[in-house]
This record gives sequence, structure tokens and C-alpha cells, in this order.
Amino acid sequence: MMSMKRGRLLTLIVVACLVSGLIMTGCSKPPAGNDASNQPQAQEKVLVLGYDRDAETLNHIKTSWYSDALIYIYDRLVSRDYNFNYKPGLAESWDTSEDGLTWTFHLRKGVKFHDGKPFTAEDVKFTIDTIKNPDTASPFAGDLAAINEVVVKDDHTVDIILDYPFPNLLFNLSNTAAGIVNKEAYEKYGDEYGSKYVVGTGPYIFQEWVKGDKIVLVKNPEYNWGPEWMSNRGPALIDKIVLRTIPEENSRLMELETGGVHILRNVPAAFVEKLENNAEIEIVKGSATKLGYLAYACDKKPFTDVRVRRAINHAINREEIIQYVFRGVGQPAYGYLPPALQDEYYQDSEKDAYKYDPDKAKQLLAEAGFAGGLKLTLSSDNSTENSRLAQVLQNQLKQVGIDVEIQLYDSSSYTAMLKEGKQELFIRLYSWPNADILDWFLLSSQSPYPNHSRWVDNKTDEMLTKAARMATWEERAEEYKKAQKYLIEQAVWCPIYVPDNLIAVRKEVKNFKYHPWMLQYNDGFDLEVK
Amino acid sequence: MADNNYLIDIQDKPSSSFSDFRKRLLRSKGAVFGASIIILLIVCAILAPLIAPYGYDEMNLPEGLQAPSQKHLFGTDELGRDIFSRVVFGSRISLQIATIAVGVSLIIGLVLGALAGYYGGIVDFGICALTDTAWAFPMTLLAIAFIAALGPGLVNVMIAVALVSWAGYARLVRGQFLSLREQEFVEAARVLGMSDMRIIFRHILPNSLAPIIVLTTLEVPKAIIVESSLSFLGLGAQPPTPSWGSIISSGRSFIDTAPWISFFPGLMIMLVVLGFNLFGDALRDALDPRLKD
Repeated sequence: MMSMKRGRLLTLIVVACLVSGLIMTGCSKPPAGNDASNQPQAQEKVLVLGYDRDAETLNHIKTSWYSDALIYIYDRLVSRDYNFNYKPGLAESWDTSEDGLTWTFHLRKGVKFHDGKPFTAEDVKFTIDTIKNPDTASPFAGDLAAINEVVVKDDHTVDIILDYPFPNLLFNLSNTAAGIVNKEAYEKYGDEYGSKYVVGTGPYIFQEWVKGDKIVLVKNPEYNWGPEWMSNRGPALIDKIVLRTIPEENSRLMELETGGVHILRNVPAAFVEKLENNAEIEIVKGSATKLGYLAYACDKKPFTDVRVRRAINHAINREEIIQYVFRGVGQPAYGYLPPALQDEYYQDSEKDAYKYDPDKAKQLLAEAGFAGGLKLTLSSDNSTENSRLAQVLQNQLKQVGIDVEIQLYDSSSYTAMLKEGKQELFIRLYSWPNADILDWFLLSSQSPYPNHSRWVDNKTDEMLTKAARMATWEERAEEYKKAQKYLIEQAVWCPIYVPDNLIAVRKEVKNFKYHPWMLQYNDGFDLEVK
Repeated sequence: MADNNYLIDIQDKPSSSFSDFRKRLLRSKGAVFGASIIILLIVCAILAPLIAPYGYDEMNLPEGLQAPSQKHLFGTDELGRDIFSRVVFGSRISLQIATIAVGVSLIIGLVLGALAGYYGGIVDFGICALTDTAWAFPMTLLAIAFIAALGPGLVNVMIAVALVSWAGYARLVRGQFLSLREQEFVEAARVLGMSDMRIIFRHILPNSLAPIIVLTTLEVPKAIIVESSLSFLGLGAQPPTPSWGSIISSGRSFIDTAPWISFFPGLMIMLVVLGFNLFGDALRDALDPRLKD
């Protein structure tokens, strides 16, 4: 009797303690949480962008992999509007001397860096000099090779003096790699610049970078120097941008569907149908300045023989690839540049190029002495789209007697393999809005990497160098067209497709505009918050 | 059955105990089910070209992403290949892994375990340290590390699987040898002046075979899982080789529009692993002297 009673009492006490504890914690929480801190958070507009890959560094001078964060953090001297025209950026205007060798840039006044320091001509000189300094080892240095000297005239005027005429200067200065850095901050932070400290003049300020996870940017409230062609030239409408790295394709899409990510670019074509059925997501399509191609090590047998290279070009059925690998999204490619580069693209590419013709391919192979067939390897990165493409190519090449063994690599070991030069046939996709991409990939001096097709040819060198140094943009374009015609003749690559840019945008994002180059320019897009 | 006969012969047991063992094994439903799946897998692998209606890399692009039908029993993938044919051919890869990779790891484990157990002392110490180190790593993770060093491909996967799964055998064999080497028949052999090799291979090893066979049956499904995982990650069989893991992986993008691409190879992996496990469990019970009667 006694023990039972004592037991009950004990239970009662314990229960009472638990209940009162629950009540107390329940009571104390709401005032602290709901009213004070949650309310302002709900009003903050946070835009989340999803990526497959993290930045290498946010110091754009020292990388060739440009995170989109750089678009928001920095401004450039020159900007490009939706039609690819060159428009003022940090430079209000510019003029060229008669011989085309001196370019004078008049800089915008009243621009401030994120740390409060005013933007001056010294920063422009410092940025260009740092890129060109051999000790920096900037991947972008070659693009500014034409520049001899940068002369500061006064705080807001700077002269760029060239060694030879170089109409492409405006393009290079509008590039993400040419964002203007703050001289003082860059020198002060040394090696920590680009990871812990990043200082620009752009519409967003760097706040935090958790490597492999996210980059956080907050809006620059003082910003009022946006390019004139943008609908919003003042401070950004969105308070915070988070750039998340989500390497796995399916997780990235799931995050988009559940609202964890607002904008996703490079959506694989296979997902388009599914996303289009989702009322909360809009797919924005636009022609990309990209080119997907099959390449081969031109210095190795049998690719030294132009007939073999042409045979491969004849063996590829591009329409079939577009329809079944890319689910009808994109266009077949015949030339070496994407047609979106209207001025520079060689319009007769398709006419001159090699049509799908398996019999012709077999005949060419027989002439080259490979009537009995060929055994080759085909390398690719292991993305689902490229591994699918590789299998279809394998199938198409088999029809003309080329037996191909597929070798897939993850993206970093793929680059390493190409640098080592182990490739025979391989698949690549480039993304670049200028004809100088041909210099990058095909000049002898770029072999063996990035000239991974190992194309070493004097005539190509002559033609490309001549084109780059023409006095005007128009003459330059004409020369590049001649070079493209020659490359088609030589079948240096086998161009396959020009993909469309597929960007998935959630409905909460307002005023999203498609820009073919800087895909997420801060052109006044906004976010609806519940 | 022939296999079992052999097993018993070298075990030096009277044949009455074999029929005993067979009775006990066949009484277990799991063993029968497991054995039928294993036999089915072997038949599939050997007769693949006869069973499969299409080639495993035969593309028919306009027929991509078709649901299962009479024409395509398991449907087609995004490139119009018949999933049934690919799954049937895929059984060859799983079986290859099961025999070659497990076989190699068995040999490594057996030799190291026997040396450690028989000689003891410093040999034992060294081999044990190595075994414990290998044992400490998760199998798949270590296999990925080996693939990173060797490069992707089916042969390298076999090497990797063999190199990550020998530790279990080494430990088991060492234990068996430790207890058996003190037995009278071993001492007798030694007194008769037999060489170490002869004692190890003719006298001790045959007497420790039963648990090794059980362990092997249980290691096979693990090896199949590791191979599938590596192929799923793109580190194993290269396309268009129809490894079950890589078929599942290629179906990921279509999981809600064409779930059959990933479903059937997934089902096969599950069945085969289940089959081996059930059979292995039943085999262990049947061979365990303590469970007699």
C-alpha cells in the first residue's frame, strides 16, 4: 500500500515538472521569435541561384572559371546590351585616335567601391597592369596582349595605348574578366583577396563564401551608376543573392521545384518537358553563344589525313542528334562559331560544310586506306547529356566502319586528360560570344592546351592573327569569315550543335530578361515575397 | 550438386553426413529460392544472346522512352534500346564480378590468412595490421579511391573490388588456422616431416573450407552492390556496356516520365543480392555442426 502510494506521488511530481517545463518553454518562445526577428526576415528579398559548380576564386584576374557572382560584384568599363552592342559601363564614353592605336576612356564620376573609396583612373590602370603582369599569371593576359601601356591623364580620364590596331578591345573590356578592382583593397589583402575579401563597384556587395556550398551577396544601397540601357540603374530591388552549389543534377532540379532555388541555368533538355508542365516554373529559351563539337587530335594518325577528318564530318547525322539527344532543343551546327554572333559568323558555313552522307564517308575512309575500318577511342565528360551524345556518335560512326570505344571522365580529370594529350576523338562544348575563341582554340601557340585538337598550322596562324589586327570591327569580321571558311575546308573539328540556353525561372521572380551573354544581369529583376 | 559432393569429399566426412546436409539445406525455403535465382542468373548470363531479343547497344532512336509492352518487355530507354536485353546482358557483368573479383579477393585473403594463422609471430603481426587497416575503410569508399588511382573501367572495378574485400577472408582463415594448427593431426603431419606448404594446403585448408564457402556466398552480393554503385557513379563499366548500375544511373533523368528504365535493373540487383544472401544464410545453418538435429 505504502509503496504504491509513494510510487504514484513520484510519477505525479515527474509529470508535473514535465508539463510545467513544456508550458514555460512554450510561453517564453513566441515573444522572442515571432515578433522580433521573424518579421523583418519575411520582408527581405532573397534570390537563390543554383549552380553545378562552385567558383574557384572571386578574384577574376586569377581564374578562367567565372562565377556569376563576379557579374554582380564588379562593374566593367564597357557593357553590352541585349543586341550585343557596346554601351557605356564605368566609362561614360570613349574615342579612338586616327591610327587606331590610342583609346581614350572618360570615366564616370561619383562611383564608389564597396569599401567607400572613390573609383578613379588609377584603379583602371592597376587592373589592366595586374592582368598583364607576367607574375600574376592571369589566364586573361593574352586577351589584352595588344595593350602596350595604360596612361592616367587625370582622375577620370585614361588612355589605353596599343601596339597594333585591335578593334576587339571593347569586347575584352566588357568581359567578366575585366571587372575593375579596387587598387588599395587588392594590394592590402594580397592572397586573401578573392576568398575572404572581394571589393568591387557593382550592385551587390560580397558578404560570405562557404566553399562548396554558397556565396552570399547583399545589395549595394549606394549604387546608382548602372548602364543606361538597363531599366533599373539604381540600387538593386532584391536584397540578397545566394549562389548555391548543388553538384547533383537531380537534386538541383528538385530544389527548383520545391522553391529552394529560384533560377537555374543550363537546364538539361531532358527535363524541359517536365518543368514546362509545372505551373510555378517558366522555361526561358534563347539562342546561346555556344558550340558543341566533336574534335580529334589532329597531330595523331589517322587524323593527320584530311580525308579521315572529312569522313568523320560526313558520318555525323546532326538532325538525329538534335532530335533525340537534345529533345529538339537547339540547332545543328556546321561552322566554327555560333550563328548568334551575327557580325562575325560565316554565313555560308552550312553550304560549305559536310552533309550527312555515310557512303561518302566510307569512300573517303577507303581512299585514306581504312577500307577495313578503324578502331578509336571517344572521350567525354560524364554528364548525362554528353554520355548520351557519345553513345549516339558511337552508333553513327559504326555505320561507316569506325569502331569507337567510349571513355568517360569527371570534368576535372577530363581537363587533365586533355592536357596530357591522351585524347583521340573527344566531345567539347564552348561558350563564348566572340570570334577570338578561334585564336584561343586553334593557334599553334595554344597547343597542346587549350588547343586540344592539337591543330598546328601556319596558314591558320596567319589568317587568325591578321584578322585580330585589322583596323576596324568590320574588316576584322571579314577576315575571321575567311578563316572560318578555311577551317571548314580542313575539317579541323566536326561541329555538331548549337544548344539553346535553357533557364528555368520560378514564378516568384519578376521582370526576368534573357541576356545572351551575361545571363543574369541585374537589370531590375525583382522577387515576389509572400 | 557436383560442387557439394566435392566439398564433402575434401572435408573428409562420411557420406551420410552429406545427405544429411543436403536434406537440411533443401528443407530451407530460402535456400531453394536463393539457389533458383542464382541458377537463373547463370543461365541468363550464359544464354544472353539467345534470350535477349535485341543487341544491348542496338539503338532505335524513334522508339525511345517507350513503356513496357509485348515488343519491349521492360520498355526502352532514351536512345530506344531495349531494357530487357540490356538487363539480360547486364547479368554477365554481375556474374563476372561475382566470380573474378570475389575469386581474386578470396585468393588474397586465403594466402594472407593462412600465412598469418600458421606461422604466427611477426608474420601474423604484420598481416594483421594490414588486414585491420583494410578492414577499417568502408568498402565502397575505398573502391572509389582505387578507381580514382586506376581510372574508370570494368577491369579496374574488378581489381578495386578484389582489393577492398579480401580482409574478411584473411581474418576468417587466420582464425581457422590458429585453432587447427594445434590439433593432433597437424602435429602428426609435422612429426612425419611434411613441408609447411603441404600441411597448409593438404591438411589445414580442407578442414576450414566450410566457413570460407559460406563467407564467399555472402561476399558475392556485396561485390555486386559495389560494382553497381561504382557504375552508377560512372566509375565502372563505360557506356554502352549495360551494367545494371549504369542503366539505373542513365534512367535518373527520366525517373518520373519513364521509371521503367531504372526500375528493372534495380529490381534485378535486389533479387540477385537477396538470392545470394538467402542461400548463404541457409548454407551456413546447414553447415553449422551445432545446429544439427
